[in-house]
Amino acid sequence: MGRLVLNQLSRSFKDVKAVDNISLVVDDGDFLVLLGPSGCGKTTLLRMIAGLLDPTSGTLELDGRDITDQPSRRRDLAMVFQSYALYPHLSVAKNLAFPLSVRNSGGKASKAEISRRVAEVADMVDIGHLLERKPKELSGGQRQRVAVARALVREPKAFLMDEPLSNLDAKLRTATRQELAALHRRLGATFVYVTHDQVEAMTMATKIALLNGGRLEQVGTPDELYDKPASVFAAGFMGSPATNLLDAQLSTANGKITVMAPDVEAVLWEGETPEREIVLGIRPEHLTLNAAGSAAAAPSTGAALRGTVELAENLGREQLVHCRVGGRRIAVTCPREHRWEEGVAVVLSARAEHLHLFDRASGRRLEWQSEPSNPSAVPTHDDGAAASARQPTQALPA
Amino acid sequence: MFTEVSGPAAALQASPAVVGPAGGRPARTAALRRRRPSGTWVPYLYVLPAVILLLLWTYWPLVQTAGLSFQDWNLIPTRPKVFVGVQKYQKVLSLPELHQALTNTVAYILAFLGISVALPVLFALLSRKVKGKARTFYQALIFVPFLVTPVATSAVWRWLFAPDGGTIPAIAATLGVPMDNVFRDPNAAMTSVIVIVGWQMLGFGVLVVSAGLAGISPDYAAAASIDGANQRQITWRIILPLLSPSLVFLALMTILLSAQWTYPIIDLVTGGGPGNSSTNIYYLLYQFGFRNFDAGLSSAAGMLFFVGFGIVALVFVELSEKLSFHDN
Repeated sequence: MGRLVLNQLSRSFKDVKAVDNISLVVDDGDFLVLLGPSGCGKTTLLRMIAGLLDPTSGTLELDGRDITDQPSRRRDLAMVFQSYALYPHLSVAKNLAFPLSVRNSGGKASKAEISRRVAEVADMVDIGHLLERKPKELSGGQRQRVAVARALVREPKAFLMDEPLSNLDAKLRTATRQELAALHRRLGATFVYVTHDQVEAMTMATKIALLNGGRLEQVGTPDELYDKPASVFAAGFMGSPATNLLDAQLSTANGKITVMAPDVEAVLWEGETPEREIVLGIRPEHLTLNAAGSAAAAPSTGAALRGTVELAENLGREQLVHCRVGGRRIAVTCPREHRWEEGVAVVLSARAEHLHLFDRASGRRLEWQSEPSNPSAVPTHDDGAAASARQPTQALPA
Repeated sequence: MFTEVSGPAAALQASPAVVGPAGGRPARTAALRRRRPSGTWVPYLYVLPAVILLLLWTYWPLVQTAGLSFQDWNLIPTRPKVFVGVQKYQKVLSLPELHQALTNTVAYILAFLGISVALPVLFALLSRKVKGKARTFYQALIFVPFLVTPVATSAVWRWLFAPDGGTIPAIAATLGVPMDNVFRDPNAAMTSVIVIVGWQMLGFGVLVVSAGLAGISPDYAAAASIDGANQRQITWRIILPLLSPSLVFLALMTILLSAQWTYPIIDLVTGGGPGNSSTNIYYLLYQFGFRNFDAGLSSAAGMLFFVGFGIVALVFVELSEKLSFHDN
């Protein structure tokens, strides 16, 4: 078991609010990734869960028990540090045995039992041949494995990981990522994992909590975060190259919802809405690039952006074309077959369902509701963590 | 038909006009060879001042001392130096004063190991519980005595210990412990020197231990506490082993320097007495040479201690090599 409940957790350092009123539920068996840019409070949040940092306010529950005031040694959690924090004076075997031996002051577990368990976890992460070495005699990848093994040895209620892959090279990082995800599936344990790398988050998480400036921006599955970003920040943070974001006006024309901006025109669907200042988001892979005036049939709905090519970057698998549209730079990914020359006039188009609309003042996602009788807010996510999002997604008034 | 794509190096050789990594190498080695003659002596030039000073002030006097230890000479420049072989070594080893001084020196060292190694660990660990600026203040307070000159220290402590109106005897009297002149008491003279020198050395120890503690990543203690260790286990099983290189350094410094640090206090406060009860080897050397004017005897004793302390230093250097963890 390992169900963590964070209830309005805050932490301030002097006048700076590092973590601001975060409520979050991590269900048993969840792989929750705390994702966000540097300084968003994700590590502070993890250290509060670990008991290394006292919250300024709020409470923490583990399996229904309030652990807010429990010292970390009584919380029954395990943590993998960014620095790995392997005890440099102890061999790998003694590093692995440490969590068992310090809890064994009463002498319940025999030495043989401890060494059997050490051998077991060492085999699990494939470091059986390194047991007699000191940490300084290990490579970065091996140290990382030892750190994971030390967390595994005790079978804790939940595993906390603070950017455990950031010190590995790119190739090893990919391999270890897959191993950690496999480990999570095999153990079925609760993981709370801190990273600033959205690829790690997308590939490993069952649930992502996106943080910005100490607050939760969005909580949801990787699909939800990518397909339905709940805010301008979420749209801009998730995805590489980043989502194109441009200021636009929402209005109604000829009974249809339209979005207008310099050199940008989008027709969404039938309906009516008062005029509204918005931010329009379109992912680079959802835009199609055509030469201006080409015979491509214009669909009745969707967006059309007129601009000129500024730069085409060859990414190998595809190309990334930067276009100037109404004074803004818009990125498009497209196949490499056609070579786009600088200065060529182009039309970029996107389907209506691929357009993300955000209120410009609040930055929150606008969701269309065909049911006019219920204009109230609809959360983008329906799991227990929904309550944690700062503001529910705003509904478009119909 | 297929044609094989050649590797980059082969392509470079095929076109002589291109100078790439393969073609460029001979030119670079030639450049290195040209530069080497001027480069050979420049590094030595940089260390030369230090080497000259070491030779002049350390190694040359050492050689002179070794030479004097085989001669009989009373320090008067006009008197001849007479070669006497190992006679001075035989004499110095048979002197009861030397045995007394040696025993005292060992006693001093043991006492100072407690005061400047064990106590500083305790103080430094305790002062970690003090947060913010107050901690710096406390540590400065402990360190300041180290900066006071031995002469001033001796003067102040002589007043403090003065039998007629000194603070310490006055306090002792109110507690019902009569205190005479401690510096004239064969049983208390050495203890008083230990208290005075210890008071000065404590600050040095706290400084070294605090620096050692600051160098230990807080992640280790954090990891240990999540692993389930309590504060006592963290201190004994993580912090102290990681601190051991600092402690070995401190112990070595204490052993090697305590005899020197004690010397001025002995000279100013007790004069090695009463009898020889508070003397140490450095003070004895000084007495042999500059009170009895027996340069040979003083030098022979000096050479013996040089070898003895040299062996101790070697053992500790070896030990600290073993204990260094290369914390990363």
